[in-house]
Amino acid sequence: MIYLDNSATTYPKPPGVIRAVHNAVQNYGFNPGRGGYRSSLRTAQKVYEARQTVRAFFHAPLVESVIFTASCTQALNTVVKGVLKKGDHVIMSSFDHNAVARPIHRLQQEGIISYSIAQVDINDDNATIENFRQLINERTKLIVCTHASNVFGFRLPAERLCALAHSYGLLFCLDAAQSAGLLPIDMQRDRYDFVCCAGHKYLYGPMGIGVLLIGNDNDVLPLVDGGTGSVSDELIMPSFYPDRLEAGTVNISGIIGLQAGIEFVNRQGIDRLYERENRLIRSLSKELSAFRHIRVHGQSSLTEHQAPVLSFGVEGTDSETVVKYLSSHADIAVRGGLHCAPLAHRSMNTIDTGTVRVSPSAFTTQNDMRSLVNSLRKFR
Amino acid sequence: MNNELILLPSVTYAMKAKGILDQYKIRSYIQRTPKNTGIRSCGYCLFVPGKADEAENLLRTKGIRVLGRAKREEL
Repeated sequence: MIYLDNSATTYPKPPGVIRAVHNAVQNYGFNPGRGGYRSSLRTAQKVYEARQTVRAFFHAPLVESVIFTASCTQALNTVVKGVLKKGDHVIMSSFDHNAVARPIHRLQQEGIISYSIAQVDINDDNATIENFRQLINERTKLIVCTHASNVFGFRLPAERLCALAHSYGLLFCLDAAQSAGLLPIDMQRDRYDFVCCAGHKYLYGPMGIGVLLIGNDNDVLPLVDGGTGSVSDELIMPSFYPDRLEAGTVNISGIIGLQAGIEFVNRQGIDRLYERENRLIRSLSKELSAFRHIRVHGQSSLTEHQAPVLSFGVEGTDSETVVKYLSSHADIAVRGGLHCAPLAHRSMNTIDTGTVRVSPSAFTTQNDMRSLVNSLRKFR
Repeated sequence: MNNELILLPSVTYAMKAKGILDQYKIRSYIQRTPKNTGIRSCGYCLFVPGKADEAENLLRTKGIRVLGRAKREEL
């Protein structure tokens, strides 16, 4: 199989990650933060070391502000539902994923909050910033946006949007599901209030692990209440992180695997990974653009505005048909449809057909891309 | 020796506190908070033989939330 659906989840995982997960299941199958026996403490030590690795990777202010979640979606839900209160207003971008849009929309439907969607101008950051600015009102509390579109790869001016939010006294949450491991994220330099990441995408960890990073002193209400192994005589959740937002037993193999994934990214070099994958996408974009029956969607004219993801359509055919053809004729795995991001498709007028998305990883080769191009050449 | 246990809110704080003390070459051991401490809830503490006062001051300076001190009971 030629796997080009890495924006959904990276595959294969680095050998070090597979070994780490195996090691975790075999040797660290004990509940951390609960027991006082040696194996529990050894496991807690491993979890703590993973927290330190995550903290260092994102330059998070404190190790205890690294919260392990089940997914990026859970991290985003924690921020949206734990920060926003009755009457608050929130702004998201026109390229946000349903992991952001759905919880926000639901709170709006329940009459708790209101929201606005800021249009992103893919070739003009100043226009994007201005679009966000014009939507701020006296009830706005939070700006949340994706770092890079999971469909088209457009990179949003996150650092500037965070500065904009702070200049109005607002909080800023970055959805780094598609960017963590590909684009540098520095919480201390850019003063992000919240960063939400998927562990299983470009951080190369296993599925079932995500991260919420908190960069401020604001209280975030827990999404899930339960046992934490601390202040157990009280019926309310602890006031301190990470316990406040980590009810229940944490995912040890996920956490240890994620640490190994981040170590893989560190060894490869985040800039090198980005440049290599972007080169593959640029080259693919050039080749596909030469086909009369294929339309490459919205590659930004500015390289620095682009994460290594490409969406295209085939004239007269819906995206799922193309995906099925590539799978059955060439064993190529790409993703079709709306990619859980209808806002992005509405922005790009692809809501009716969807797009075929190609997303490489550290393990994708030029030959993989060549096979894709050759298969698409034959497709009519 | 009295009150050689430094009581901490959670295992994460205990790990962090131990890491700080390690940097200053102060030996410490993580253990569950015993029942004789007056703290009813679950928690972790650091056993710091001989240097608990210095260690507590150091940890407070470094922003670690210390819940209190307790005497270690011999097993």
